[in-house]
Order: sequence, then structure tokens, then C-alpha cells
Amino acid sequence: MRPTKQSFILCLLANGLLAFFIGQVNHSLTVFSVYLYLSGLFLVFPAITLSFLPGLICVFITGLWVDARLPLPFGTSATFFALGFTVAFLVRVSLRRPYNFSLVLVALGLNSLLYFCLFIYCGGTALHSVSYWIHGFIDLIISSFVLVLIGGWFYNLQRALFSACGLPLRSAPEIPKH
Amino acid sequence: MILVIFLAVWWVSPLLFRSFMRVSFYAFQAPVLALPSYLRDIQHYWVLRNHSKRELIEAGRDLARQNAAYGLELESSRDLNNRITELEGLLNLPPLLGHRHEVARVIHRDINAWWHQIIIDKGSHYEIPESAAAIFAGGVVGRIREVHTYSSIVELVSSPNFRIAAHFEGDSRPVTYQGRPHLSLSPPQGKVLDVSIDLAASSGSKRSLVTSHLGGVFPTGILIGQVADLRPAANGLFLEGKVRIDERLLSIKEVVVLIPIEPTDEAH
Repeated sequence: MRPTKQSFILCLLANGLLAFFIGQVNHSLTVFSVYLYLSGLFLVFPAITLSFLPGLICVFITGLWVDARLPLPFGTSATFFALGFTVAFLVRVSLRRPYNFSLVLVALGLNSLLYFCLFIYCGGTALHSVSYWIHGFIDLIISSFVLVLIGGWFYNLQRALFSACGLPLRSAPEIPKH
Repeated sequence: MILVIFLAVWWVSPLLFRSFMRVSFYAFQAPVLALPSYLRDIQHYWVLRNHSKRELIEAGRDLARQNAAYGLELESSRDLNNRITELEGLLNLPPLLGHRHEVARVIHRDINAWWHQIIIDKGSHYEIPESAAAIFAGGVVGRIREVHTYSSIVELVSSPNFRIAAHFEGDSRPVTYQGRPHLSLSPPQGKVLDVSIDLAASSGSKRSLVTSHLGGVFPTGILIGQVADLRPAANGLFLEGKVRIDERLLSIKEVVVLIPIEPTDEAH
């Protein structure tokens, strides 16, 4: 199998695994009415390891997987993920050495952006409600905290998968010397 | 440019294709969602296996007492149903819509600021229809929003998009119940609208809000929640208030789906 195809499948599997675990954690946290939104983590690793089109397809499929059981038009999350991935892909040039800290930082920014987009998109008449904004703000704060905690672990997992499959970890492209 | 073309291809594609993709993704995901539920059952089984015999005997004894109490309630319910049937015959009334009860396990809960829903492990293979009512010991759970072969998605009563006809216990005038977003770490809640001005509620004398048969989904009299405060609405013509829903809704593990039984021709 070509390395690009293997990288694509590994990124997709890792995203699927993360989506599953996030779902289970959210299932357990319903008692506290807390919801973790960690979609920013799906976007960064494909952005630095895959070229644009395979990475776009990877995050789009991840978005469709997330969307399948949600009461949103099918493809809404996938569209947001695609837009976030594009931003991550543009930013990856500045990630010359993709240490976890910089990856988690980018994931944090994208996560907040996606969350805000979804918050406004799904708000409707609830946008006038103060409790809606407070609930959303609390969820975002908790989600950001958890993202910083597990982001490094998740990216190390993906690196380990790549190493285990003997795939080169494609770092950010070198800035051409003039 | 590639992004724009990619997204345009997706959103312009036929609705049939997107529906097919959605059903496919959901069907692929459903066993993955059900698996942790089975693992939790196994975990629970082994926890029970580690209980001492004394603890199990005491638990069995407590359950026997509860079953005896439920047995008496069941007999009382049968007597009431027989009296209703007699009165329907005497007064030549059409029979009330009956329901078949289908108990289903909750395999996934999804509660956030935008939607409140759960997924149960029964679907069309148990003849569960769309828009069927779901209830539990604490009252209304919600309404079936989507039905698949082996699972169904239930929109919870606390969901901001959930709206049904209701009335206060002891008062037959219809009001409107709607779910509303609630704060983190707080119990689920809704709001009651279009309440007559002569009604009142306070923290000392709460009023129970129950379902009304006018919506056509829920039978009448199932508890939605408690109303402790009624205030004038913006229009000044009616009152509105917050409805406090049973907290157990957020950790629900089993629901009962009410499947309507069609009245037979003999009844007519």
C-alpha cells in the first residue's frame, strides 16, 4: 500500500477512535450537563501529515461520522471541519517543527472557532437566552482545558501509529532558501 | 478553490445520495455505540457476582416488597380499566387509544446546549413508530425522532426544540410546554406557556404539569415536571413559568416506548 494511503487510513482510524472516546465521555458527563467539544483535535494531524486533498477527505469523512446521529443537516459538521482543516493547512507552514505544544495550540484555536460557529449556527432563538450563553461558555472552557490535557497524548498516539507502520512522519514543509 | 468545489459537490449532490450516506454512516456506527452498553452489563454482572450472599438476599427481599406493592397497583389498575370499559359500553363512547409498552435500554446519551437526545437499542424490528412517546418512572422522557432497524433516537423532553400540549394536574385547560437550555451542573428544565391568569404556583405549593392527549402523541396525565413559579408573559395575557424536570432524566438507563394500539372494528 502506498504511504499516502496508509497515512490517510491511520489518520482516519485515529480520528474515529477519538470520536468514539469523546462520545463515551460525553455519555458519562450527561449527569453533570457538561459536554466536551474537542473537534479541533481531528484537524491538525492530517494537516501536517497529508497533502491537501487527502487531508480534506479525511476530516470530511470524520465530520460525516460525527454528523450521522446529530439532528443537523447531514454534512454540517463535515463542512465546519473542512473549513477548519483549510485554516490548519495554511498555518502548517509556520509549524516548522511540529512539537506537541504548537499542535495543541493550533487545535485549541480551531476548536474554539468551530465551537463558536456551531454555537451561533444552532442557537436560533436561544441566542437571546442568557443561560444559553453561560452554558456554552462553561462547556467551551471545560472543553479547552480537556483538549490541552489530552491533545499531547493523542498526537503522540498518532506518531506511535505512524512509527509502528513504518511511515515517515511528514513534518511541515521546509521554507525554500532563496 | 479545491475546498469550494469539494463543498459545492457535496451540498449540490442529490438529497437521496446524502440520505443514503447518512443511513450508511449511522448503520456502521450503531454497533459501535451498542458495544459499551454490553460491556457495562458485563461489568455490572461481575460487580454483582462479588457481592456477598447476605447482600444479595437483602436486595432480593427489598425487591420482593416492591414487587408486592406493584402487584397491588396492577390489580387496582385492572379494576379501573374494567370500569372504564363498562362505562364506555354504557355511554356508547369510542374507546381510549391504548398503548403497548416496549422497554428499551439507553445505549447513548447526548446532552448539550443545542440538543438533548438519547439512543435506545430497539428500532423498527420491534415495530417502534416515529413520534412515539417514551416515558420512565419519573414521567416523560421524550419523543422518538428517528427510527432505524435496531435502534432509535429519542428527543428528550428537556431539549430546546421539544414542544407538546400539556395541562396542570386538576385543571383541564391546555397549556404549552417547551424545553429550554439549562446551565451546566443544574437539573434539566423547560418552560410552560399560555397559562391562564387565574392559576398560581409557588415554591410552597408547586403544581404538577402533565401531558395532554390533545397533542396526539402522549396519553393524558403523564408527569412532565413541577412548576414552582408563574409570572406574567411579555404579552400580558397569559402566565409563563419554569418547569423543573426530574433529574434522573440525565442519567436514564431504560425507557418505556408507548406504541399505539389501533382500535379494532368491534369497538365501532
